[in-house]
Amino acid sequence: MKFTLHIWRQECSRAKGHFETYKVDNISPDCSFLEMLDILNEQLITGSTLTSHLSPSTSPIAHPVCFDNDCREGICGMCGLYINGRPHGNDDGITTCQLHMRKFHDGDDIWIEPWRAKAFPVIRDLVVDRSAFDKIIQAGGYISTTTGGVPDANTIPIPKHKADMAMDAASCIGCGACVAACKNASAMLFVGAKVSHLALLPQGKVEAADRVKKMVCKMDELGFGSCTNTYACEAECPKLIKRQNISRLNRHWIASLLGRDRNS
Amino acid sequence: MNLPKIHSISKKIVVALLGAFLSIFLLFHASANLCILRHDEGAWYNAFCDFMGTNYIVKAFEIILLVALLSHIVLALWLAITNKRARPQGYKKPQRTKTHFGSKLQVWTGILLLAGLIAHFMDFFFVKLGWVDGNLNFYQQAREKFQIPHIAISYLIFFVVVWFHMRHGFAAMFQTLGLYNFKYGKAIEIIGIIYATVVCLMFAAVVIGVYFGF
Ligand code: SF4
Ligand code: FES
Repeated sequence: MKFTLHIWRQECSRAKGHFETYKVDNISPDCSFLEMLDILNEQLITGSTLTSHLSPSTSPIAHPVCFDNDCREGICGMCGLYINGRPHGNDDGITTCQLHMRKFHDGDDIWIEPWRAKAFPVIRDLVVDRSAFDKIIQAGGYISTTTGGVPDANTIPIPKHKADMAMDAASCIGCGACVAACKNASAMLFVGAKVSHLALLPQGKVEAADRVKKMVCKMDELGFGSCTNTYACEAECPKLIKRQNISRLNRHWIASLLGRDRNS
Repeated sequence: MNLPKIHSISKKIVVALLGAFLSIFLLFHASANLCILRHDEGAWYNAFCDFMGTNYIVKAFEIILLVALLSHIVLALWLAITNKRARPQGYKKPQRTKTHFGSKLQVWTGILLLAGLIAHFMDFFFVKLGWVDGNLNFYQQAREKFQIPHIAISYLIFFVVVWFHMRHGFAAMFQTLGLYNFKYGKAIEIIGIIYATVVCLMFAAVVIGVYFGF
């Protein structure tokens, strides 16, 4: 398969970025999106003829295209690319590393952009700084008691549906697609998931009110937008985290304002 | 410009509560409007308007309603400005993500509603306050206005915008107040659609009815 790639290139966070256009050929349909970018980068390094730089108006960036990745199996949340108007590309419930070229048509134009949000500044090309998420977690996304050794499974009875909901929320990998997809660059789905997976379980319930206050204050402070219930986050979350977690976050916020801990 | 600090969720909660209040008022307003369809020379409708204009409790309610409306608008615009700032550089490719029906239009339908509301107030509310000249017999005023094709059509378009705004706003309100959960989520969506449709049809029925001489 062959593709025309329009990729955002930016030397560093202070530099002005621009799109550059490349052509790639001989790409297997079974190639993952990141493998396709690896091939492009190899060709950029070796100066292979298959890749042509087509933007004469701007001075071309010589180094290979920088993009984040780590596990390449959808569990680390590092890879985040905004591809043809959708975070993680044109498929549901997957990360960019799980996207395959067979999802495109031969000859397609593919526009690749970094996550866009004030709280996620671009570091270089397609790599953004997502440490804002770490700061939100550091603000309160934890249980402050020492848990000790692993207790017997049934020592603390937890209803199955609550355990399931907590597990679903805990599957958030912090990829930032929710922020990238949201027209307001809101981090409510991420914070909702992090608040929920702790607050749904007895161990996390104790500090629930305090936690939600600290995390929401940090989220606002870092410059994320607020939720206007478009649910683009839910539609693009690779772990299919549901909007109900945002509702739970709101519920806990109200409870914390009223000075009450909620029983979820 | 630095905007004062109120936590984003708190602002949204106030917008949602005010939205709920305004939605309930709309149902009340639409129900009262149905009296215009009675051929009683406005006996019922004007009696209702008189009651609204003279009762002190109702007058106090009117002030509360206006404050609620203004606060709803100001807070929603404030949120829209802070949200815009959260993404200083946008995407090149337009978004292709599926979103909740009408949700991305909410600010724009809100602004359209404000424009429509001012025009509506010029016909009725501002006449009552004596700010503009007009017929104080609102039954007659409504019957005259709704027979003029461009006014009738403008009102119908206005109700479509109201429908869009309420259709998203209803479920969004439950979500913001933390009442949207796995069990009742779907039901809330459906009730929201029914509520918005019923209210708007009630309003539209009066305009269409009068236009066609009922
Ligand atoms: S909620 Fe979903 S989209 Fe957002 S960071 Fe977590 S996994 Fe990514
Ligand atoms: S590289 Fe780890 S989720 Fe994609």
